[in-house]
Amino acid sequence: MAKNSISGVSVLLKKREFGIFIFIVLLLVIFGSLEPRFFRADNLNAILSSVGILMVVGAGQTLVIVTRNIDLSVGSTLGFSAMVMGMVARENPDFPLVGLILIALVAGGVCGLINGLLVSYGKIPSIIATLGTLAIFRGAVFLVSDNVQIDPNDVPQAVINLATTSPIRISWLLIFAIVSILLVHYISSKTLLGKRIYAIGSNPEGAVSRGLSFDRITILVFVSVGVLAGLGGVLYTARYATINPADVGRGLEFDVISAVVIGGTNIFGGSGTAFGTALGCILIGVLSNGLTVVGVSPFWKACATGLLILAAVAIDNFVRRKQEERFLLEIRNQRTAE
Amino acid sequence: MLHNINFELKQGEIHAVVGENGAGKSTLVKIIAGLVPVDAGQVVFESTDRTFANIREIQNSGVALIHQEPRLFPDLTVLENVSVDRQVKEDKKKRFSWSAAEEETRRLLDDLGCSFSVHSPVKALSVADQQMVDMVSALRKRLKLLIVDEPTASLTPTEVDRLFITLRKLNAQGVTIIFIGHRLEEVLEISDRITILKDGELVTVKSKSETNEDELIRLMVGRNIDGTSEGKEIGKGGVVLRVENLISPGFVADVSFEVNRGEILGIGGLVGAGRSELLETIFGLRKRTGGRVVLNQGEEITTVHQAIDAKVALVPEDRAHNGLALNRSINENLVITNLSLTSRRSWRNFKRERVLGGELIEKFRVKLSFASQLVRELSGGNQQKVSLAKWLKRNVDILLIDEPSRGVDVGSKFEIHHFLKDSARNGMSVVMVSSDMRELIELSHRILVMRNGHVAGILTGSEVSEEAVLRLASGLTTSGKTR
Repeated sequence: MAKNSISGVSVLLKKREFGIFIFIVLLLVIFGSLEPRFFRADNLNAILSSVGILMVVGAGQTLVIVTRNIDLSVGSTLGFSAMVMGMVARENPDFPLVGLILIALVAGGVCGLINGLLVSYGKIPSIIATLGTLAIFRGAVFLVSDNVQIDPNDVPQAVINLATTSPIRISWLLIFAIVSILLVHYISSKTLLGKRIYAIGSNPEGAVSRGLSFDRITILVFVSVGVLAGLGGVLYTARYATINPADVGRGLEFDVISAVVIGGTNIFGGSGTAFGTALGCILIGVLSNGLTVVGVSPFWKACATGLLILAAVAIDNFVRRKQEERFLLEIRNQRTAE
Repeated sequence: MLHNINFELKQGEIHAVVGENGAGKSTLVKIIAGLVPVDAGQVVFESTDRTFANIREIQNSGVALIHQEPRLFPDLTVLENVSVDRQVKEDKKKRFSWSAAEEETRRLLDDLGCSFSVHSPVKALSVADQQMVDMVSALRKRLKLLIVDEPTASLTPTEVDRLFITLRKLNAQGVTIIFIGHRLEEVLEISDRITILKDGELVTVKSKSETNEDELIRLMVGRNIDGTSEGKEIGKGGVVLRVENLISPGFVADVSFEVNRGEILGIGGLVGAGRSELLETIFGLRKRTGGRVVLNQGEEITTVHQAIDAKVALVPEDRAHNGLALNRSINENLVITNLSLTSRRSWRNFKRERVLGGELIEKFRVKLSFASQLVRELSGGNQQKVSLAKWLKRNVDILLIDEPSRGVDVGSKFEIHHFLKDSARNGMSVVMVSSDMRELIELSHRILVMRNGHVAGILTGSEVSEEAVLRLASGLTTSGKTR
């Protein structure tokens, strides 16, 4: 569709994502010049792995935010899925890899289903519902694990290989990340389901009067983000090989929501793209790693991250507003010229 | 809302429903469309009981309701808006494809005479165009019953003609149509039979041939309305507002005019000609890149604050978003512009607010259950009265009003017109944008016609006629060529 749309739209999108891209390049240059170690292969790998995990969860979160909802529980969901999978693997060392992945996906999906039901049929605003489940799912991690962590020697090699082996020059972890982003991109731009997701975020009342199944779509996006957080749990396990009940996925919602918003998704719903989110994830990943590598103290790091996120969003909003104004004007001028 | 209504629709007819605002027209059709539940009674469609069917079932059986205000998805494109409720497999064999949908949408838009691209985002379209998109979304399905709720409220005469041609074409193809309208000449033009409602009850059903405008008005309001106004003596109290070469890029191009004291200056033109934007630019809401707005004392208006201080008021077209706080009570909405009158220093005085609110409610005959009722619950006409009434106490010198009777019933319209004429006689100047030709001609002392952001011409005295306005608005030359 994009190819015959008004040229303004594609130009607009290109420019929008270009802005984030420039910001990332700037960060790379600054960090690289301050600390040459930043560009070493192992450090770049570390960045890519954490970006990959962010992207998987961020892809799902994009859809949730597009529907005017938010999922604060993604970190706990990821932790819960990872812990359930880790415990199965510890008890059954010969459990097949595909089976382990499925277990994590189902665990995440169940968490998402609970959120979806609370928001749709329970009529609880998602920010409250998922704030509740953020705590509940974290509690569940402690309860199922008895506060015992999964050690590296309990994690099957097949799982660890997902982060270290590379079938086509990039690791399985990144392949999963890229596929998630592409999948969400495809759904949201090419399918009717995707358009319905955007429609209920764009005008909920209108969606009801057009007979769209509001509750079903809401549940579906929450299940999707849950399943993707489950996949994130697998990748987390692959990357760190340790699942500590208190640490796994803690605070992930902050990074994920920041990445989605930096990526240009409207926090009030209706618009946003998976590619934008992918760039947002890269920005967060580079920022977080870079600040550590150049030796910013952890106390300052939190402030700096917050400040840079605000700066990125502020600049981006400004540019977007200007472009949108110009774009609307262009359409009007075309019309008045007719 | 409704009491014991028996409404019967014959297949293949165009059936109009008329009545004052608050008479229950919208509620009636919402019940038919499944948007509002029934307390008692039955809805039967094609001899099946549909009383408790859900929206989707009703839509799939070929019933579509086009709302007063288009309900679309602003972030999606035209094509996406039209297609969003399609089934992946509509016919057994054919799967949904965007290219087929695009072709179909384009064809339907062409039928309606629309020229915008199917790929433009809906938020970039004017209200009239958005309504066309809404219409196309309904036309796409196999349609048996089309309900149009005040479709002409925001359309220009050309667009109304286009719409009527479409409705007749659909009707000829066997689609039954329920038409809700306020402009009686349109109702009489399009419909076969007319149902008249008043205060939630059925007055009577008339066939077109046995009734006329006067009778309909009588049946609707129970009183005679003197349509032709008293003689209009043009206020000659000197110029109070001078607009010089005003420019707002994309909307208003080099507009200059003057308004006299006690004058009603009508602004005509097609929807999208930049009329609303002109008012907004004068009021300081919209960014301008050139020109000046000067008051009689020589002071200039550039911001909303200055405008309000200079006793200029704007009553916008889009009441729901700009004119009213829908979730607050009627009284609060009336008082908000008058807090300086009712408050002692910075403290609100609720007793005075109630008195002032009551006075305004009475004056404008706002129909309500109680003064603390939410504005959201009022009908369109009564909302408009509230949005006007709140300016009444402020001693407004210059009133900028946009479509004063859009979506307003005959009775409220009469009261609003009366208020405008009265205020003008008492020295207030009015700049009124209107797409209702009769209103424009009846009320205005002079008519400024806009076209594509420019002033196409200003008509005075004997020059004023429907035809003259239309000619200027559409850029019609004497040879009769359109656009």
